[in-house]
Amino acid sequence: VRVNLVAPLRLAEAVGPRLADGGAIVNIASRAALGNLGQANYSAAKSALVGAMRALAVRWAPRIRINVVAPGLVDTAMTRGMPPEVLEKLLARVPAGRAADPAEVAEVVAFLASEGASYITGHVVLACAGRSVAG
Amino acid sequence: VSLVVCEPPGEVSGEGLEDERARAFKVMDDGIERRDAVVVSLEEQGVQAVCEPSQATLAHGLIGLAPRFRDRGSRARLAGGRAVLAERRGRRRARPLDRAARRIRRRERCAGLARRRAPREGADVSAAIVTGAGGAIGRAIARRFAAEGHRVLCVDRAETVTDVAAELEDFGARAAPCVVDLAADQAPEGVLEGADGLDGADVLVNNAGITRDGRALSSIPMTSGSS
Repeated sequence: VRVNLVAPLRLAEAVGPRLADGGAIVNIASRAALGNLGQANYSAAKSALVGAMRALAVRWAPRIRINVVAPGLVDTAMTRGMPPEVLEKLLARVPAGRAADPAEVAEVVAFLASEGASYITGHVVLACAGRSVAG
Repeated sequence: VSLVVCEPPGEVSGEGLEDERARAFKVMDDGIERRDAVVVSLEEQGVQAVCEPSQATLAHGLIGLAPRFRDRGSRARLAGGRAVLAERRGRRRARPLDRAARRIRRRERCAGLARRRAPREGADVSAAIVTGAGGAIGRAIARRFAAEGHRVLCVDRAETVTDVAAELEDFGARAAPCVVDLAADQAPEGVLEGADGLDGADVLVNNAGITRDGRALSSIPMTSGSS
């Protein structure tokens, strides 16, 4: 909770006022913010982050835009460290049938930080290849 | 001995340059690999070649990691380009060339393929703070911003983040490492200090995050309180 929620909030509070006008904050939460089995703390921290950032987005509008990216399974050291059978089970629930490449998450972040997203703030983008639709 | 500087693409300056050499330099932005080959051949002709990667080169070098260049071939080509750069700078090889990389290089030489991406016109060169830049997602985000010409402050509690910043600098981006444990009370000050070193910032990416034990799945009792 300290790293996933308190740290980004404190950092946003500290950096926000110093960001240039028209600046942007993009947070990486997780699809687990919608709830994942056995991840109560993680889910709680990530969805609290979403709530807090939405509130900040309203407070700092229109000077700074704040958005959240909530990736599903991403190909990182964390997922590679998972037991193969668990990973297989998780992948079976992703309609795309694969984990995301970190670069695919980076593309979403880059868009939300760019001028192209100038009318988007307080939003959560689910980058989970349909995992949240499939249920 | 002439001095040649190429930045932006196609602009060549130097004394006593023949047209042929000037033309040769215009392909510099076709990729790190080819650019280095041109520098070597110029040096063989007695021309001292100094190469400043332009935004296009930078984007090309880093774009190997963008989704549409995620295939094996692109990765191999990127690894090849990196190894050449590292070698030329007298460092140890970044990564040995594998068979796929050699095959791609051969094929490219034959077909004269040039995948390039023009730098974004009129894009403001600004700065981004990326936390957790030592991790897979953070590194990908840092690279993506660098490819767009942003200055990047790479924040992580692990020292390895200095390698990430060094890699971005290798590609010509302005980047700085910032080793800070975000769980510490003074963390924001440390990050702000780092950002000042990059002349301020206008993007903050809160990427750092953990699950307990670094595992994606573990039963975490709510009673454990603030972890």
